[in-house]
Amino acid sequence: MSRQSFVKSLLSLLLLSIVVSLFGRAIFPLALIYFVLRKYRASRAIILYSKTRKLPLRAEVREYMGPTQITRLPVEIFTAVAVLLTVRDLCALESSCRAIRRVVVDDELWEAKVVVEFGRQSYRLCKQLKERVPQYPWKAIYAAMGLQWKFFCADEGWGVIWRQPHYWKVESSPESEFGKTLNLGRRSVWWLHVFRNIRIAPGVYRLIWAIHILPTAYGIASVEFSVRIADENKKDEKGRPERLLLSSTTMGNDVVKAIQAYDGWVEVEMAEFDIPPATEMADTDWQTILVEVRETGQSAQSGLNLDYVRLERVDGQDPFTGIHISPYSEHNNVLRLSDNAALLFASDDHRDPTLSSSASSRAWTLADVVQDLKWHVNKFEESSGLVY
Amino acid sequence: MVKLTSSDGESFDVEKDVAERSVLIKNMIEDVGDASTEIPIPNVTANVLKKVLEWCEHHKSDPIAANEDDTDARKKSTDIDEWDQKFMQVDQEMLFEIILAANYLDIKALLEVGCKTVANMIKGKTPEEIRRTFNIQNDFTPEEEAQIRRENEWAEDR
Repeated sequence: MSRQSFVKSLLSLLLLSIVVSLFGRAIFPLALIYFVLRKYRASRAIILYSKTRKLPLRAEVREYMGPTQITRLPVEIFTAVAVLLTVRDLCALESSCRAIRRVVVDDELWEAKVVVEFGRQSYRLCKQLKERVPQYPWKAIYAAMGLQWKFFCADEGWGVIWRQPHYWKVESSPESEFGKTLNLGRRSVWWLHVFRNIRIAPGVYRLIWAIHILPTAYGIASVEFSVRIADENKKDEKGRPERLLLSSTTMGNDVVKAIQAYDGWVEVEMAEFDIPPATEMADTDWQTILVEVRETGQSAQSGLNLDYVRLERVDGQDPFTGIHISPYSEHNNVLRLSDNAALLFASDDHRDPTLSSSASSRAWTLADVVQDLKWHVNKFEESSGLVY
Repeated sequence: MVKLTSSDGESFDVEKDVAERSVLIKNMIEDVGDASTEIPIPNVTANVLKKVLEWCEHHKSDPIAANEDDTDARKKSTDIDEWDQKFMQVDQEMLFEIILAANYLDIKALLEVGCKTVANMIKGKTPEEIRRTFNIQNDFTPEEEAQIRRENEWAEDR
């Protein structure tokens, strides 16, 4: 043994004894953990939590070498499994093999998902839509249900006190995505009240008002933005349900001045609110909320234009599945979703696992499905007397 | 006591309320009217039947879900109680045999646990990991795979 290697081994022995004396008996479990971690890292089975991707820490994928068992399941059981999965999981499952893809893109699965995730009441509305427009696949209807909607104030469906040419009217506005806004302009009202009913699934939401404040505005610092929910258990003498306040906000003078100093366009964000299930029996049924902006004070109001109300689901678990498919979330990019949605439903015969390469053969877009679905929801509201 | 015979000829003596977790067996007993006769289970082998009966034994006093709405609410979650989780820690052949047997014997709660177990095996995995988990042969061309990925972009987390 050379002198050099003797010194080297002596040194490593010394190091080892220092480590042992430092950690005592804990050295054994520590060593074990070290080796296990090294092994795992080598097989790249542990995917570490990353802030940007938000992937959960996952267990090692256990490899299975025997003949495939999963395709032995009859279609109805496979569908029962698939119903439990999120859209993201289904996408992954879809690209595993052809036989599985056939089941995952099947109408029956997405119809079942609508029932399980949106409740029977919503399912009835979707079923009406499906009967009216049979060429919409259930996957498209499911996707349309999951979208978080934007309600333009210049659109139909709003209740406006003093909607007369001398007061509130719809005027074109290039700054608005919709091209028009509901304007008070330089006119003034003594009673400001704009409202609409919206039906949404139970969950935690955030409501945002997009408004435009003119430099000449007055009296709007104390305008109250609010969300109320109908309490079916408490009714007044006329049989109308009592409305409970879920969330409300006012801007105040300083905020109004700051907005005016900028360019007047702003999104007023309200505190989050929770939509409880309609009844204990069917916890996925939708609820009616009343969204309103009103001023009950002593002065006149002027200089307020309303663009839209946006509803965002914020309880993480997306409308219903665990992903965020809102086109309005961060990028305000409606186009992008429509493009992808067009691709998504590219194949006319979606039972056919062969993939078509263009979306041009189809005559409708996801936006059409959303529009038609809204029509059914509105019709339902009218027929059940939910109009304010 | 009820006597059940598996497809490979093995007999099992079980209590009536354990056997009646299976709607199929329950109906058979009612049809025969005499609980002492042997009931053949032609689609299930002895090792699987033994496992299924073990589950029935543990769950014999559970209330049976009465209405549809009830199952709807439960369907949404994939939580499985601890005993069932341990019970389902079997190899894949056995897991799928249990699911198929539960389907054949019409034991809704067991079928549900089976489906949840499979769903949990799929959750959060990439296509490649799913293939490895179930030993599925990838029969897509790379172009087709890319196309599916593009079609499904809408579901990506943003």
